[in-house]
Amino acid sequence: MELVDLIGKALSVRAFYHKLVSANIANSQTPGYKSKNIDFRAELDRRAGSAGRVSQDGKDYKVTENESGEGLVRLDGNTVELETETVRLTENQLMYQALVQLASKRFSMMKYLIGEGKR
Amino acid sequence: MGVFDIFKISASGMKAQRTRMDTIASNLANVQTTKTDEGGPYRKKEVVFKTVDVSDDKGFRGALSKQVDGVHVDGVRESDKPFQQVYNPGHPDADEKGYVTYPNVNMMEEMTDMTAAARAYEANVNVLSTTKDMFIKTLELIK
Repeated sequence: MELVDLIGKALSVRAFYHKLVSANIANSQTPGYKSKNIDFRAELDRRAGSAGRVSQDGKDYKVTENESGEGLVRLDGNTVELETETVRLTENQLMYQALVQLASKRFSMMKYLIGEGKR
Repeated sequence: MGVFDIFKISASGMKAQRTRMDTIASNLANVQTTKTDEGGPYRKKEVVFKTVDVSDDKGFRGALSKQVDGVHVDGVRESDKPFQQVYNPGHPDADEKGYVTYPNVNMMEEMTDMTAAARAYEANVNVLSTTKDMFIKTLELIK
């Protein structure tokens, strides 16, 4: 599989994950709201073999909800933990950045080849 | 032990300190409360911390990082320190000798606890942001 294609798919999943975490943070005070999550590895594995673009609307994602929450349970039934979500957001942002830099490196290598090794 | 396990450990520390702050807020709000649903004055609440494995990686790498744990609040327990007796015969909850039983909350203790919790939270945030800076520095290698 072409590396740039794989990076593209990984970026799509990361972008969707960003949406999901943003929604969780936005609903951190909504009674009864359950924190949503996806398994990044599984989502990417599922897409790595197939051709074509990854849709952004979330229809083909397997989104899981955190029903019970961890540690002390809140009375309003909300399972969003702001710290966990912030860490997820940071992790996702860093991985997105890493992927963008990988793609950019790949392109600059191609450019170098096109220019016959001249800068 | 991945970079993101450190993130999870820091998050667990922040969560635990926030819960501790919740109990301190409750203790301070109820420093003069003489009536509760269970009867008697308010009892000081204390959090109990416990180490917890935060890693999602249950494979080989996960086993390697077994000795590195996060923290979570195992429970909130009520302190069994003695209540304070204050002579105040006009109070509706005064006993026949005129003494009122006030909660076993010491305001000075709570204030120092609050500062400690805030600093501990800050320390966790610092670890998080340092880890993030380290990761970004690594990313600069492929620029």
